Amino acid sequence: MLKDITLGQYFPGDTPVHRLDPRTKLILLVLYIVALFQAKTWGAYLLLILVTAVCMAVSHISPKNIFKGLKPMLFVIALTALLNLFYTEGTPVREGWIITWEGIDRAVKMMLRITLLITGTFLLTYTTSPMALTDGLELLLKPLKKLKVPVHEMTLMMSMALRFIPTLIEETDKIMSAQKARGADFETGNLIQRAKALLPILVPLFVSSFRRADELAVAMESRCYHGGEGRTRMTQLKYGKNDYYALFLGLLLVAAVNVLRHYGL
Amino acid sequence: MAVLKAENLKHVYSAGTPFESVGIHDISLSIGQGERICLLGHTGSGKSTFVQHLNALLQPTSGSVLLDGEDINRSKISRRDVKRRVGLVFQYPEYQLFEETVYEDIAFGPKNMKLSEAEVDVRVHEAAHFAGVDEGLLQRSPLELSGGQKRRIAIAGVIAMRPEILILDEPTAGLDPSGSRQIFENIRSYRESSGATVIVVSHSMEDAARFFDRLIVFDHGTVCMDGKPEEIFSRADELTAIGLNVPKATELARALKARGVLSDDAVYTHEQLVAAILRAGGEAAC
Repeated sequence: MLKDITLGQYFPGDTPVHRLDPRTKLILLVLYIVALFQAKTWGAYLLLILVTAVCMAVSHISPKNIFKGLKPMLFVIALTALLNLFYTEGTPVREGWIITWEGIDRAVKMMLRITLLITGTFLLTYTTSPMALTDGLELLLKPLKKLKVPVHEMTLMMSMALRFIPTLIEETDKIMSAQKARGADFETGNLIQRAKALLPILVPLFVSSFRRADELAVAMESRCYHGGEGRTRMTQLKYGKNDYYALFLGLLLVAAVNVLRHYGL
Repeated sequence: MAVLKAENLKHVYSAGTPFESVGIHDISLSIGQGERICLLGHTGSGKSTFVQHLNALLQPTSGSVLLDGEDINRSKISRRDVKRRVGLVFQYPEYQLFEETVYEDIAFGPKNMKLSEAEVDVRVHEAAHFAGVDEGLLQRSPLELSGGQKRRIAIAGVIAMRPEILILDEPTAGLDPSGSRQIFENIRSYRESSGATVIVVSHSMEDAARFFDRLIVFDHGTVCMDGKPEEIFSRADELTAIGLNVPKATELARALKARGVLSDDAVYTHEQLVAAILRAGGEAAC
C-alpha cells in the first residue's frame, strides 16, 4: 500500500534522541557517515553496529520499522554485494571459482555499510520532525548566506516538500480508490498498458497539486510572507548539555574507528 | 430480501504501527433491494470506511460483506466484479476527472467494463441525463466547468456503469441548497427508473428526513441507531449526545409542543411542519 511509504516519516516520541537539537543530530549523522566510510576493519564494523543498535534502542525505533524503510533499497544492496562478490581479485574460495575470499569479505562489508547508512538516516528522520529538521538545516547552513546562497528559500522549499509528501500520498490513495471504483485496473497488463493506466491518477493529481500550490502561495502572501529577511522564529533552538555529550560521543566514534583501522583490528 | 449484508465487519487502519487505529468494528447490517438508506454520523465515525468495504475497495480486518449471499472478497475476480454492481461516488468526486472531454470521462467506467462502442454511447447519454449533465457540455473539457457541474459529471461517471447499488459519500458537500436539492432529485430519478438500492452518506438531517426511508447512525466506528426517520428523530436527545441534531422542522415542532401550541412533534420536513401548524390553527379557531 502507498501508506507504507516511510520516506520523510516521523514517529513522535519523547526519548533522549527525540529531544536532541536537530543541528546536533544532523552533525552526528555526518560524523556517523564519516566513521562508516573510514571503517575498514571488522572491529570497526562491529562497533558501528553496536552504536546503531544502542541508538535504535534508546529512541524506541523497532527494527521492523527500519526494515520497512530498507525494503525499497534491497535491490541496490543485493546488486552491490553481488558485484563485489564476483569482481574482487584475490585467492579463490576453491580452485577455478571466480568467487574469492576477499570478494566475500568486501561484499559483506559493503552490505553492512549501505544498511547502516540507511539505518542512520532513518534514525534521524524517524526521531526528528520535518519542521525541526529544516530549522536545524537552515541554521547550520546560515554561513552560506554570506555567499549569497538563498538558504532560507531552499530550506522553506524543502520543508514544504516534506510537509506535502503525506498529503500527496493521501490524495493519490483517494484518487486511486475512486478510479478503481470506476473499474480502473492498475495491476494487470503489460508495461504500456500499466503506464496508460496511471494517466487517470496523474492528471487529477497534477491538477490538484497546482491548485494547492496556488492556494498556498495566496495564503502565504495574504499573511505578508516576503522571504526570510528579518524573519524571527517561534521556537528558538538551543544547545543543551546532552547535545554536547552527544557531539563528543560522535567525535569519539570517528576517532575509535580510525584507531581500530590503524591497528588493523 | 437482503442484497447486501455486512457481518461483524471490523477494519483496523495501519495495523501493527504506532498509528494503529480502529476504523469500524462490530458492524452487522442487512440492506434490502431498492432501499433508500442514509448514513449519518459526525466526522470520523466510520461512515466512509464502511462504504468503502461495500465495493471491496477496503478489505475487512475481520468479518465479511456478502452480495447476494456470496463473500465479495472471495477472489480477485469477485472483488473486481463487485465494483461494477456496487457503484461508489467518493467525497468531492470532481477531483478525479481527468479526460479531455466530459463524454470521455463519463465513458471511463463503461469502457473499463469492455462494453461495445454503441453500448458505451447509450450509457453515457443515459447517465448524463440522470445526473443532470447538459448534453451541450459533453464535448467540453471537464476542467473548465463549475464545481457543481463537475460534481454531476463525476456522479454520471459512476451511474454510467448502471450499478445495482449506488453509494454516494456526501454528494452535496460544498454545494448550495438548490444544487444539493437537484442532486438528490437526480439520484431519486435514477433509483425510480432502475430500481437500484441507494445509500448516501450525509450530514444534513433535512435531506435525511426528506429523501430516505431508513437512517443508519454511526458513532465511534459502529452502528448506534438504525430505523425509519421518525424512529430516529424521536430519539433527539441521543442524537444530540453523539454530536448530531434533528431537522430544523423537528426542532421547531418540539419547541412549539413545549409551549402547548402543537400537540404532536412527530414532524420531520418543512411541509409536515406547515401542515401541523395549520391543523393546530384550525383546531384553535373552532
